[in-house]
Amino acid sequence: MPQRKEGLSCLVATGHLGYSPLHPETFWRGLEQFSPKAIIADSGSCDIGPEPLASGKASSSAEWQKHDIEILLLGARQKHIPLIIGSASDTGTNEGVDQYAQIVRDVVTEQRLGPLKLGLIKHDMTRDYLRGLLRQGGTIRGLDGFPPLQRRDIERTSQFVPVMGVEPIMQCLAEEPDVIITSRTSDCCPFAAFAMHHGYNADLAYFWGKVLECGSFVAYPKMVNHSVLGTIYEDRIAVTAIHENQRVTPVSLRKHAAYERSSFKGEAVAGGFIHIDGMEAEEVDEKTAAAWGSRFEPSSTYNVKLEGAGYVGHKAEYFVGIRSQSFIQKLDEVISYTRKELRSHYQDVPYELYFSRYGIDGVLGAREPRKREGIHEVGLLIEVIAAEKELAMGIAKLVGRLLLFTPVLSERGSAGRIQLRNEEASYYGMAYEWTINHVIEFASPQEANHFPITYQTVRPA
Amino acid sequence: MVTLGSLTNDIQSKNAGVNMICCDIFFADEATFKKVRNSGSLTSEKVADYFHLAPEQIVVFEVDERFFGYKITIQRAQSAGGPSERDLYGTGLYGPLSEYEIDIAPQK
Repeated sequence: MPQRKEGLSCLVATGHLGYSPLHPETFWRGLEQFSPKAIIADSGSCDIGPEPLASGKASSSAEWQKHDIEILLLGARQKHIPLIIGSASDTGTNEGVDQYAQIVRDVVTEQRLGPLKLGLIKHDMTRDYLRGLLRQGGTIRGLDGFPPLQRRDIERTSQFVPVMGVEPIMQCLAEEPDVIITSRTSDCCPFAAFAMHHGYNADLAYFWGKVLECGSFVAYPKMVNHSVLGTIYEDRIAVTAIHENQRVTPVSLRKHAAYERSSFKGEAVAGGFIHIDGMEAEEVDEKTAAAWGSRFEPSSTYNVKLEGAGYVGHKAEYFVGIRSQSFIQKLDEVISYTRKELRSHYQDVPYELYFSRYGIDGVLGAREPRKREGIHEVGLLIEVIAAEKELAMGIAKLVGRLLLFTPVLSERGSAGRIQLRNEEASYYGMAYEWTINHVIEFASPQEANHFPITYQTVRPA
Repeated sequence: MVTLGSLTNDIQSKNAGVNMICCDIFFADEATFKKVRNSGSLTSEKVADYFHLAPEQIVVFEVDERFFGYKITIQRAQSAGGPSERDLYGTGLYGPLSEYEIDIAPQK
């Protein structure tokens, strides 16, 4: 195997390609200083909520996505190293893969790059496929408290994506494309696949991917979208900060190894579980820490996670101010009275109505530990979800007016109990929710191969 | 009593999947970590009480003795980004955790 002694390195310039523009300075510096063997970027997350997946609209701006891809592609072509982008366009849909492929074509034309070989990994799962699995008596297991998937969950899902493991990416790497763009994959898998393609063991490869997938977020102090260098060796992995103010330390590595995960023990990916509770780490130099002791345990079935989202209704929001002590003291009573009054006007119409009390417990709701005292002002967010836009807007406006003249308070002379910023409520658009957070248990990776790969040669147009 | 925020500046909360929020607390040195641990103030029961949670809503409570860290994972009231969401990324618990009181004497 090549590069055993010096290890295999990759440059990571962003923790979420396109989410906010990456900083080119540390990228170019890292590229020159370390001569990495690949540039790898994760571009997806379910952190951004169900909206981008259900609506089919990326959460990132198209301009920032192009900004990032252009810089990474210029760097990759300059050094003749592969560029691997996982989970295209925030959600990893097939449309996201097409969108990123078009950006690559545009950049190749505009910058007179190429020709280059582009590998695209999509998925071929449809809602009909899921319906078929259930019809055949299959079980699609729920994660984190979701019950087993039902037919009705599929019907209320606008779009879903299966999450690929390393196998399709390794298969694609074997054809040596210059650029790979994948549909949804576990954040660590593009990195792990690259390392395993070069013969490094799974025990360290997945772990390496996990600590790298957020880019400079792995270092202290936390900064986003600066480059870091990851290196994998036969017996350890190492991460080096490039920004002058950042350091990767044993603790920052340990912390990031379980970042966004429910347990210090590790996490599941397609094909197995990455155990990190045995990890050890040490400082290498002032910018670098190394770690080892992780373990990949293959699972008895090959489990492919599904992420799916759908619409709930139309959402109207009305943000109003309250600057009266007596109102704030009686706020709970006013709200429950207003709910009753509203119901008398909209008796047979389904709607959802929520109040968020900024200044009291707006962020945490019932989980807010602080006692309510010394509050002189409250921002009240009224949120209404209903089947029609006009209905949601009308209800939100009426709630505002009912609060304005609420009879619950004792003052005789107030001309208006709340303070309005606008006459009208605001229309947000659709409201969304996660509908699928499940896994399909396949007998083998071959059976789970729902990730077709295509190649194309891209030349300046 | 001292606050957790006075003992460490390495406290975060973040989504762990769509249905949970995980909190990570790391201490810079063993002495501080042990003081917190020995105080008995940072336990699953007490954190549940602090955030008005039922005990079973704290899904994971782990201590990492090698790296001086705590992982506390909480069940969301509902999955992230649905109706009435106020903290899409689940980052909001680090503030009140910084104010969480630990029963040890303030350092001189």
